[in-house]
Amino acid sequence: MHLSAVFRNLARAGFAALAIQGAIASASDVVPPRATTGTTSATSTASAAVPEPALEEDPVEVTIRGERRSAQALSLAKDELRLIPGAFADPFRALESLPGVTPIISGLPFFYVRGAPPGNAGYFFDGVRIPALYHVGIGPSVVQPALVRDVDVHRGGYPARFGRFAGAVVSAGATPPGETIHGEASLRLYDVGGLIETPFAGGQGSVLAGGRYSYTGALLSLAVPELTLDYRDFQARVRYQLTPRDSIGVFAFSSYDFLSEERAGQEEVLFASEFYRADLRYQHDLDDGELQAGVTLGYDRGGLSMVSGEQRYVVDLSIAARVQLRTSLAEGLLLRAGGDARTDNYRAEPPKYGDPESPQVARFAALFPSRLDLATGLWLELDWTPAPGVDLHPGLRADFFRLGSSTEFSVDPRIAATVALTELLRAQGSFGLAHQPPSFAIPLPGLAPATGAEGLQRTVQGDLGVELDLDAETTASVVLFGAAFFGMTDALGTNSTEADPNFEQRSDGHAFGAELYVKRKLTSRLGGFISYTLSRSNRILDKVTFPSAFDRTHVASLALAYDWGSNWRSGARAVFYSGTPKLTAVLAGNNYDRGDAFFRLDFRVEKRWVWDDSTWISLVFEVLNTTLSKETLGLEDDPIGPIVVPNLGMEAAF
Amino acid sequence: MRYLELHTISILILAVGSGCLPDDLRDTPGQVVVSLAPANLPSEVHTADGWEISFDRFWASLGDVDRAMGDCAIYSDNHYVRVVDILRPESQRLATLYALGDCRFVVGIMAPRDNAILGAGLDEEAMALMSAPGNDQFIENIGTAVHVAGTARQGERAITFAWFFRGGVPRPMCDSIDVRADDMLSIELRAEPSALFRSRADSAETSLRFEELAAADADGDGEVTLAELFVVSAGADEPFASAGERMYRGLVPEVVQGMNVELCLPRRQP
Repeated sequence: MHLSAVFRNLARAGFAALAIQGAIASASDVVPPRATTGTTSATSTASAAVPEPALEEDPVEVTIRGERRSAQALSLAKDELRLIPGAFADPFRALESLPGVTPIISGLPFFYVRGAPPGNAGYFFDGVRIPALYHVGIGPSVVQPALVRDVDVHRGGYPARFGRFAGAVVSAGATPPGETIHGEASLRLYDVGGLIETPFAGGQGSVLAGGRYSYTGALLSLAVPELTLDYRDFQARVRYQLTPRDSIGVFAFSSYDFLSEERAGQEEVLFASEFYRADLRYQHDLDDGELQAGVTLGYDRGGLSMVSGEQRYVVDLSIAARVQLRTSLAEGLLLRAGGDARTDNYRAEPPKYGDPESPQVARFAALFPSRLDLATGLWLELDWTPAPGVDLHPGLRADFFRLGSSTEFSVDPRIAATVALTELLRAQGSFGLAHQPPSFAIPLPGLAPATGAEGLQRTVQGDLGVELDLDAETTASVVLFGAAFFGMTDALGTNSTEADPNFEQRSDGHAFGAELYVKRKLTSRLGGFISYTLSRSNRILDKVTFPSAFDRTHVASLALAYDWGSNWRSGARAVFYSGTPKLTAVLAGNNYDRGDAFFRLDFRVEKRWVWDDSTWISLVFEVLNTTLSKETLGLEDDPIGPIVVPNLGMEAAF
Repeated sequence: MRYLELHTISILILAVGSGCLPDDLRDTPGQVVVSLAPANLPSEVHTADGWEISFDRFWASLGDVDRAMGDCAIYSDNHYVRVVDILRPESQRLATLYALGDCRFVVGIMAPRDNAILGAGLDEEAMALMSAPGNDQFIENIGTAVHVAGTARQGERAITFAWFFRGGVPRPMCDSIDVRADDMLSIELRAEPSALFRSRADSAETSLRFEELAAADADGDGEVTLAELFVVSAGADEPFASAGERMYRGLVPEVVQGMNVELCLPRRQP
């Protein structure tokens, strides 16, 4: 099998971020060695004895370097992600099905993860931090699905290389450059997207361009003429192998979202955000590792209309630099070390038509002022296998923050461990401390509150569980988790539906629970998963402990996908969660009722026509919420929804 | 600055692929400043039944200016109230609106919320008093929309009062106004403290009276409370069950006048 095919198959199988370094002296057509660019998981190095090829040439020695997942990360591979019913082949929309993830509202891609609010989740794509994962409303992710190789979800105690987030970290890896021209395209009810990549210079370089454009506005204008909705994204990547050991690349991507409504003859912006990233990177392969460096320019622009009603923007001009070393210190001992720095130059447009004496105007001017923030940090990780079956991943990071005029410093120790109890059964756990500057209620480009003078948000996270291989394709895990939060800016979780969110308010809290996850690869003939979370998430304000406004005791998903043969595949996903607490503006501890539980059923059917391994066309019909279910939040009597998203689309690849 | 320029250039190259968000898409609005006119009161209010009333305090919580109806686009967020001393001798600004179209505005007389601000001459003590939640005959656990305290004298008789009206009411300010682009308009509201002592609530032409209120002092302690007024019957042909209800629901809203009065006519500045 060709090495590139091995690469693809392993990636499909979920062992993503795998690079194969071949030292095939006589094979001139082999792409020069290229180590992984992934930033998502710990790595170990192993030498594999490859069966001697039946060639009359010198023996071939192949070194395979594969990425070993962090013990506590949930990893989803591209080929599986696209099969989850109701996720619309969107890698990031599959997050809501994972254990520990509690949706705010069905269909909307904002989640609490083990009690941590949406604003405390960090999103990384190909090592680059991005401000938001999703387009407006129930839109798709801001990155072309074809460009996403896999997604790691770190729900707590994550590796030290991820810093400045006090909740979860979602890290997606980009598909590596292909050796031949290839592409993917999709045509759906709401948008059209495509991606194409081709090598150049005899395979030393590759260039990729992709994008998505939503024509929802035209459709929407037929049904609701006063609304205008527009979203689009764009990706471009160039990589070039300078020498067998050195490569450079530029990766640029952007996202744009706009929603407006005509009121009294005037077009008012309801939601507007855009961000752009240009990442220049360099990689040098070492004998037993690699050295990476990168610089990212960012431009984020977020409208305050959704927050305060003001038709103005906050702009964040950012520059981030990073350097990362991975090297083997000894047999079974791998070192990762690095540092990064980032400046955010926030520029807030002045209110154009604001009442100068309005407390609301003054409040948001103080919350989002023009300022320069700085964050820099150093980190260290070890992947250590002290004994067969025992993997330890200790890490430490230290960060310095300059937030407006205040200065903060944090030290975050973290550790994850996996111990093989039997051949099929593993115990695993993680523990970590994490700090984060103040964050907005939900992740939006440019919107970072300037309340750093009140200190960093801080969380202590831990989990302990066991994982069992039921067969080659099925695993089951049970995990107990706990987290304590200090100084959180959780405006959603502490808010009664009776009152406006208090974005400046700090709260403490804690969360604990148990997660069950049974998964059989969705690419199997019969695949699926069961995900169940039993948890409690509390907030503490003025010494009163009360449940988070989005605390849901039970959250469960059951998905099944079946391959009927002849490239027909269908699947369904059932989602259930219990109601949110009915919190009044006057906190009353645990004296509260809960709203109604929610249930919905998603459905997906696909027919694919296949020409060869990489060339196919498929027709997909999919519906999120076939049960037309509605839900209520807090004290509100009027149910939301039903949020139903039907989709008929065509996907193709070559 | 060079940092910003380089940054902008780099990003603009990217933006070509996906476009930039538009700035404010709305047409240029007009500006409307809403004020409370200077109090024009004699030192005492004289009633038709021979009482002289002086005020120690007459505070109101006014604001939340919004459109009432019409094809009117409001650009500014004016959802806040200001606790004002309506006896002040100078004009007091209540809100600055930006609007466009055929607008009819309302001003709220309502208890202060968390984001209330103080008017001229008042201090945090006044804010605390107005914001303190309490109950009355109509509403529970809320601050005060209008607070009035004073003394009524008739010869040797002296009756004091200190009333807290907690229930709020939206008050139409003016007839419809055509607010055009770049207009600079001002609207003044007029405070009418004596309206509280009208004998009827359905006519501004009615006489001022206090005797009925003084007679409500059932315990004879020299102070008429709101609770005492609620046990005194209103006139037979009035739509109120008691003198207290007439004052609360019929007369308190008349304290701030605006509708169809001269002061309400917008003045368009050149």
